[in-house]
Amino acid sequence: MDRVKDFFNKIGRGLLTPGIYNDSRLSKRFYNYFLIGMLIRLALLPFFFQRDLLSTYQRAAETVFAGNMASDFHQVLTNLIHSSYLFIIKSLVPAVGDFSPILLDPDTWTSWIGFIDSYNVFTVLALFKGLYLIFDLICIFLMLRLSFDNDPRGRLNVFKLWMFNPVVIFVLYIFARHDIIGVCAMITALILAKKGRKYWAIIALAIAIALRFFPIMILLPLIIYLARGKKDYIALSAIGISGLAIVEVFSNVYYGKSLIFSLLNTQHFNYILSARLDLIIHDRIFIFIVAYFLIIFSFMHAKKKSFDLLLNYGAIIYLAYVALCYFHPQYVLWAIPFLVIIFVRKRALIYYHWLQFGLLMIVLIYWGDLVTKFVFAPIDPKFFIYILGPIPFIERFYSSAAFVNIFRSIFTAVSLWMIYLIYKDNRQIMDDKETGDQI
Amino acid sequence: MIKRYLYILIIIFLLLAIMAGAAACQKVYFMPGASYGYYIWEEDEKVHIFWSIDRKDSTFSGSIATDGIIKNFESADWEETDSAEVMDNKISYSSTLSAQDYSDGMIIEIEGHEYIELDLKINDGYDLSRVHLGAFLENPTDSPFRIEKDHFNNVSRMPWYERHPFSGLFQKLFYNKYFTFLFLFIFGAIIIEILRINIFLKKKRRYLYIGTAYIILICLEIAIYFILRFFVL
Repeated sequence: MDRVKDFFNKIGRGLLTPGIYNDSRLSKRFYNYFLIGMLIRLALLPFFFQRDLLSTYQRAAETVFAGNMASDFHQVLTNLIHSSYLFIIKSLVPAVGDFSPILLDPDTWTSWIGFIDSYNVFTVLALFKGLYLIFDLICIFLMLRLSFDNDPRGRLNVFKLWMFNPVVIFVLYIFARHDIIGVCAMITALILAKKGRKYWAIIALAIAIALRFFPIMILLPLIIYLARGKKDYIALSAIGISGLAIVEVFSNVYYGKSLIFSLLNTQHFNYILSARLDLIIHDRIFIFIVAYFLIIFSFMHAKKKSFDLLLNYGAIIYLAYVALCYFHPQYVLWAIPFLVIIFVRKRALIYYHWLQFGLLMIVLIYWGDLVTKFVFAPIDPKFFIYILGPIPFIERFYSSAAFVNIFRSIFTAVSLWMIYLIYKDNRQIMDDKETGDQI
Repeated sequence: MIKRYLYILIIIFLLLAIMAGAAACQKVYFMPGASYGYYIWEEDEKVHIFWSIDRKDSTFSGSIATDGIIKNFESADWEETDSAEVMDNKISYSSTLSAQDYSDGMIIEIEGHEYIELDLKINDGYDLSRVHLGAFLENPTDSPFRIEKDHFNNVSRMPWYERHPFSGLFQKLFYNKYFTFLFLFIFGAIIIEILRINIFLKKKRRYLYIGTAYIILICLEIAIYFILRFFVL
């Protein structure tokens, strides 16, 4: 009996971290947050989704039902994960298999109508989004280990802030986008970096980049943080480059085309270049690239590069991206692992984050019915397809583009102000570090 | 703690108020220049038929026939290009809307009728999903379609759960029986667990409370099944 108890105690300590597990009050609060967070997630799981979720699973269905491995050339790893998951749920739940004609229908519109109109849509939606719930839970427990090593209360607050984060809940359970898989790999890379496993950290980040393009933004700061000398810079860069080279060779051999050049030509890469300053003839300055390298130089010249400082710079980079570039709502998720750690130290930032989220809900209108009323369509397709959408409603009184862009501008202002507050926090971290070193 | 419960109570109250408001809603809501389609309702024993477009050039045409007598015909916001031929028991009409002309309509008073037959076209074609009947924007299933004399009264008497979007939601929930009841059970079990660690654990007879909570959950599930099976669907 004692052995069984010991076994479960070990699991508990492993999951919750010893600091929280050994304190009965903290572990009770942890359990409360966990249950309420799960309740919110479950309540949203079967009912809402954005069209892109269906596209993701349609590509996975091409692999599972039609054996087409090249159905998602740009995101091979993401497609493999979805395909494996689809294969498992299809084997366990027969209702999923019945959806194969809908999933294999190449027509975007009829497949969507067929999907939302089917009677089993709630079951299948809950199962499809279940994959993101799994990665969300992994992220939650990884996040506990990212900071506040000697402060279980701080760790618990990180847990709470992730569990109830509006962006996490919205992106995963209402919008249903797969960015959480890449975020999970990125957090793993950060934990490995924290533990000093520099080569593994870069490999994990390379996997995160293969899953989704965005972790590339923290590759440079991570190398700067991990490298202790010229040798490290060469080795870490070589790992990164060889990773890219392997992917490129594989795509050329297997698919017969270049992945890197095809990625550079996608609209997603152009988003980074969306904010620009036209000078004369062909001469132009890309504002985010300027901002990004200023941030990198600032990190390079920081006297003490602590792990918390790296996290702050990660938040600054992603906030700068959403502040200055064209983005999709789910991209805000990439800033969250960094932000929740900072929120524990700087409570005022939480209010700005909620404001940011509120503004994001207005900026959403930008993408029209697909991301607004159609998100609710599985509940009653007829009602939500033909109900008045926000764009015609706004257009009746004012230009919808101008209306949304006013709020977009406020969103940018809030994000830039958050960057300023985090920059101020950097100084505090460096001062604390210096004081700590003196002691 | 009390403050937190107060917030929860306020949210529940607001949700109930919205549901009650939705159930009591009688008039059609549409926004000329933004809404798209036909909107038909009854007010003071007069049938109102309006059409609106989201500021694009469109033609609305068709006819309204009845077995009674058309006592009065009133056009609303018509322009020179719009026309109607009114006979004793039939009205044929044609109307255009544009970026400047958001909406037109007609108000008809009919006597001694059992039904009204509507043949409503948009750009010379049928789009039944764009024809909205009554306050809850029901769509007809066929075209031309008939409205019985007491149709709108019957619609207004329809309980909220038989109307869009609730009807769609409940139908799918009932069709997914195994999923719905497993989902509800997990949902309920989490709520019971929250109650257990925050309230029941402090009580002497904690196991009795937990057992009772699970019995209530199972009874609730059975009740939901019967409500869906015999009342809603």
